[in-house]
Amino acid sequence: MSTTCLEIALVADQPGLAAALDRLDRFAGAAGLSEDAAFRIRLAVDELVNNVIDHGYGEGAPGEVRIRLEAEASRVTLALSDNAPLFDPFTLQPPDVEESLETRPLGGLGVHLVRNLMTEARYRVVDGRNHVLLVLDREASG
Amino acid sequence: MQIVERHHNAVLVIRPTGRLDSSNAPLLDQHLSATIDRGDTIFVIDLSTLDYISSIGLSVLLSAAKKVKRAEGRVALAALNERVRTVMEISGFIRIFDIYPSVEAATVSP
Repeated sequence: MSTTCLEIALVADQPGLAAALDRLDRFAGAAGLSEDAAFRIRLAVDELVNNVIDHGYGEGAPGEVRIRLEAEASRVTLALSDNAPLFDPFTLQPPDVEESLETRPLGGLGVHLVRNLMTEARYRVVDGRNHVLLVLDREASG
Repeated sequence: MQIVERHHNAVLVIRPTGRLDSSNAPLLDQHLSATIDRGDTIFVIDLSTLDYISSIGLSVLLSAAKKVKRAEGRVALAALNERVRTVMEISGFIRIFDIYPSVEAATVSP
């Protein structure tokens, strides 16, 4: 099977994200990804781009996020890069999911979901930009 | 996002339809807050028509559950699809919430 690829450059704000997620969904359908794989990819992009919007670029100064999605027979590779201040999301302390309702804090689950829904999640800096590389094993995603 | 309220077995059931994400989580948050503020602190959230939930959606549900608990009420979740359930499991919400396979089961439970 040949590799199918999608590249998106989006403005890091809510309308930009919504348009990018629509394109991802259409691509997933055309590339024959399972519903589960499409869901995991959408959620990963949703969480990571929201983090860039909320914590990366300053308010009122939306930067750009580049997304590259490659669908191969056995796996899907998702690369996101942005020009916000350098930050490795995978250094965040995972939440304590055993905590009770009373003490459980609101938030802090986005990166935890990404880590758990993807087969691999890595961060590196390339040319001064944040790069997140995610791999989803298509068998693992059902 | 469409949010519909009805009663089933005399229990208030709130059903959000569509995706619970950053574009519409504030809508459900406001709806649930208003519900609790008016004194309706026992209800079921019917997730049978919820296609998708992200972390901001989880925060909306958690926030509502905390308010209900403080008001000594009760909130249950019903009819999660497989993907929403996966997100709840990874987040540990399966332990925090009362979860039922159907609205019927959630509303007849003592």
